[in-house]
Parts: sequence; C-alpha cells; structure tokens
Amino acid sequence: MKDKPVLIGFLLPTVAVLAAISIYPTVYLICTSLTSRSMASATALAEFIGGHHYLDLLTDPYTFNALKVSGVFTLLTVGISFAIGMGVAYLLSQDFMQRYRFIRIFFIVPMVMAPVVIGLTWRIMLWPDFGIINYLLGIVGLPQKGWLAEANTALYTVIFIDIWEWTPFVILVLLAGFQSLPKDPIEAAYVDGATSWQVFRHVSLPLLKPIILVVLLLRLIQAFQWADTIVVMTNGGPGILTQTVSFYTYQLAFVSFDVGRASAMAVIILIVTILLSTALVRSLRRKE
Amino acid sequence: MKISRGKKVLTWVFLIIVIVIFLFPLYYNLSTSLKNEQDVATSPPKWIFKPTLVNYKQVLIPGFVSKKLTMALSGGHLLNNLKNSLIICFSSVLLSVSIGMFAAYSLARLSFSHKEDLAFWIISIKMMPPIAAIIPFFLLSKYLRVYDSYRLMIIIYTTFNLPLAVWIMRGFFEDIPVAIEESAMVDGCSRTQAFFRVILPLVAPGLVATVIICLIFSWNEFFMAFILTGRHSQTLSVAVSAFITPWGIQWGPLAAANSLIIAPIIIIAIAIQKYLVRGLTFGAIK
Repeated sequence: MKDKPVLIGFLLPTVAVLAAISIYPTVYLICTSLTSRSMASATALAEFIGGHHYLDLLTDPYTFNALKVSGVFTLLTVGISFAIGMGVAYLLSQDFMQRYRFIRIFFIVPMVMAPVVIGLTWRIMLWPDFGIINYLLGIVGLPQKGWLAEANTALYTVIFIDIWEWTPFVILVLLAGFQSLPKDPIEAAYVDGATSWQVFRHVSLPLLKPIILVVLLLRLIQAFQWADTIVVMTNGGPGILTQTVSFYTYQLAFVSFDVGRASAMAVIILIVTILLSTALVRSLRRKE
Repeated sequence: MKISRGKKVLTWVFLIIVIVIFLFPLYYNLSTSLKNEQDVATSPPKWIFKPTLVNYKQVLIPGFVSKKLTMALSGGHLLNNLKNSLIICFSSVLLSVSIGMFAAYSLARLSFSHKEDLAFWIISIKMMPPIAAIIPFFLLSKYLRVYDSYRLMIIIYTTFNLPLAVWIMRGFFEDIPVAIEESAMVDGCSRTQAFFRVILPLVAPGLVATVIICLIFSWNEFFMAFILTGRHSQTLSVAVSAFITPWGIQWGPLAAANSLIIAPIIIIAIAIQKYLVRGLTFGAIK
C-alpha cells in the first residue's frame, strides 16, 4: 500500500486527543494517591507519603464493606440478569416467535432510559406511604416496607432495580447471538433425535460462547463500577449498606475531602477494571 | 420442529409478564406526569384521572406559576439545563465522530504490527471507571479554572465517546469491500478523495447510528456531570435529581421532567434499533 502514510495520518488526531485526555489525568491520579492531599487545602501542595493510603485502605473496614457490597451487587445482578436474559432471548429466538419481532422494541425502552430517571422512577414507586409497589404488594398480601430504607432490604432492592435496568441489554445481545447461529448443526441435531434441551446445551450454547463472554464481561465491568443511581436512590445508606466501591471513593473525595485516599481507592478500582477489560477486549475481536 | 400449543401459550404468558414488568415503570412515570397534585400521591392509586399538562408547563414555561402546585420551584428552570445538555452532548459527539471516523477507517484498512494493541488501548479508555476520571478532572479543572464549564464537560465526554465511535465505525468500514475504494483510486482518486467521495456516503447510515449511540450515552450520563457541573453547566440528568428536596419530592414535575428526558432517546433508539446491539457491544456483535 503506497499511501500508508496517509492512513497513519488518519490515526493521529484520535491518538493525540486520547493520549492527552487519558494519560495525563491517570498519571495525575496515581501521583495524588501517593500524597496527603486534601480538598480542604486549595493548592496542590501536599506531602509525599508513598504507599501509605494503600496500606491504610487494606486495614480499613469501610474498604472491605465497599468491596463486599460491590461484590454481592456484581455477582447477583450479573448472574440473575444473565439467567433471565438467556431465558427470554431463547424464547424470542424460536421459530414461531419470528412473526412477532416488534416485541424487541419493548426491551429497548429500559435499556436506553437514563439511569438517573430509572432511579428516580423506582424511588417514587417504592415510596413507603403512597408508593404503587407497596399498594400492589398489599393487594396480594405480601409485606409492605420502606424497601430502599430498611437495612435488610436496601441492597437487594437496588440489585433488583439494576437487574431490571440491564436484563433487556442481555436479552437483545443474546437474541442477536441466537439469530447469528448457523441453522445446519441445529437441524441436524433435531434430525438425530435430540431434545430441545440437548440442542440448547450441546449445540447452541457452545456456539454462543464468544457472545456470552462479551455480555458477561461488559456487565461485570459496568456493575463493578456502578455508582450513579445510588446517589438518587439510597445515597449509600442505610448506614453504609449500599456503599459500592465507586460510591465510597466519591464520598472519600467529595464528602470527607480526603483526595489522596480517594485517589488510591480509584487506582484500585482502575486496576480491577483493567484486568476485566483486558479479558473483554480479547473476546471482542475474536474471529469466530 | 413442531412446538405444542401448550408450550406456545406458556411462552406467551411468560413473555407478557416480563414485558409488563419492564414497561410498568414507564407507564407509571407517564401517568404520574399527567396527574395534578391531588391525584399523584394517593392510596389506592388513581388509575383513571383527568389528565393535565400542568407539570409539563411547570418545568418548561419560564415564570409559570400554577395555583394547583403548592410546592413549586420557579417555572421553566429546566430549559437552561436542556440547553446545557444539548450543547455539551452534541459538541462532544460531533467532535468524537468527526475525529474518530478517520481513525476507524485507518484501523479497518491498515495492517501494521501492534495494530490490535493500539485498538485495545483505545477501547480500554472507554472502560475507565468514571470515578477514576472524575477525581483528576475535578482537581485539574479547579486548578485551570474551567470547573463547571462547557469545555470541561465536552472534553470529559469525548474521553468516553471517541473510543466508542472509533470501535463502532471500524466495523462499518470493514463491512465495505476494499475493492470499492481501490477502483476509485485506479480512476485517479487519492486516498483522501476516495474516503470522502466513495466510502463515506456508503457508511452514512452507520455514521448516523454511531452519532445516535454516542448521544444516548452522553445524554444519559449522570455521575460525572453530577460532580463536575455546577450552576452554570448543569445538565438535564443532574437537574432532574434536584426534584428530591429535603422537604419532599415533587412527584408531578419530577415525572414530567423524567418523561422529557427519556422521550427523545427512546424515539431515536427505536429508529436505529437495527444497529443498537452492535453499538452497545462496541461493534462486536453484528
């Protein structure tokens, strides 16, 4: 290719912009994490204290609480949304459903709604006194609660809302996966007398593996970093029971003004994310 | 394969339950936005009521004062946030797509060692935890005195939009056979001319889809805007959270604002539904 320089020139603006707006702030973050910087002092003058914050975070019960909350949150929301998503996608991919393709429009709605709107809408619906959810639960004789406010339900309620928010994404991606499957091996298996479960388990599932990997990793990264709707739903409470790692970091920096420590926590989240996304990017471009 | 009638009925029952669960909050939000104050927070809820537009007027018309709303914020205060959201989102998305399309084309056509490593580095920036970007951007913006400005928000959204745009568009360029621009170049076009005159028109639908997907991400973004904007550049998604006050929630205006935020996004998302999955998986699934 004799005009290779032109194509390399095409790459330069993107690389330059991304390098400028990602590398410098990341280095800045790491440097800040090694200092005693506080938001209370206006200037950047702060003492270098090495890995002090990192050692401190290791013995900090709040760190462990945040890791536990994020861990439980991530495992439950990713696991359950995947299970439901797989089931619904499988049903929608069946031949007799192909006439009703418009159904997938319904799943687009929660997927593209702004998370803050989702959080606020559920908060209204879960309002203890006049909320519609408690009213509906009352009709069928189930207990009525302040679902977002009580210690034993708050975390599971925000997990439920996250599952509600993200299952449609899983459905639509897996459905696209089912529809990209080659027809021949599936038909051959049926001709050989396999049951539909056997076909699903031994033919479809192995073929879907690359797509399943993409979905799971995208969801893991997103769930582990999750913080936004917590601000409008529980603000980390009651107590610290819904304080995820990102939300805890936010509180360290912007409520306790302990920027150095918050930066150290952010670096830890960054490292976990890098590990997860290295696995993801490999699976994104795998040629089947 | 034949599927029994019973199984079909079960499938439908299950799907309808799932769809009702997924759409109910949307319905509830919409109906709340059309209720006046007396009908909003009641138990049992009013399923049938006389719809009113008072909540929409409250959030959209400057200076609107309703006798029906006792706890009203000043009318029309969302208009300013709407303007901010539009300026920030469109600037960042157009910037990202117009720079990113060249890189995407280059990645689709060039082959050089470590090309995939470069592509991975680009998308890994999209994966960056928002909080790890927020802290340094906050400190630097205070230092450079650009906190709470359009510039800051456009830059930070571009950090996340540009990688996304590159990855989605790379797939669209790869879909176009190399032979097309080769024949154009045999006819005397330069690479740049071939790109603008031949390739770009062919990927136009993909380009539009990319713009829309980036717009959805930026429009919906909350956490970064929540921390990095103040009175001057506050976006819609942050402004709507202010309806929850220490004195209570204004259900009606909140629901109206919610509907205004999600309506345009739902419409454009449905318009490009063919490309939506592809965009949300960074081009991995076609």
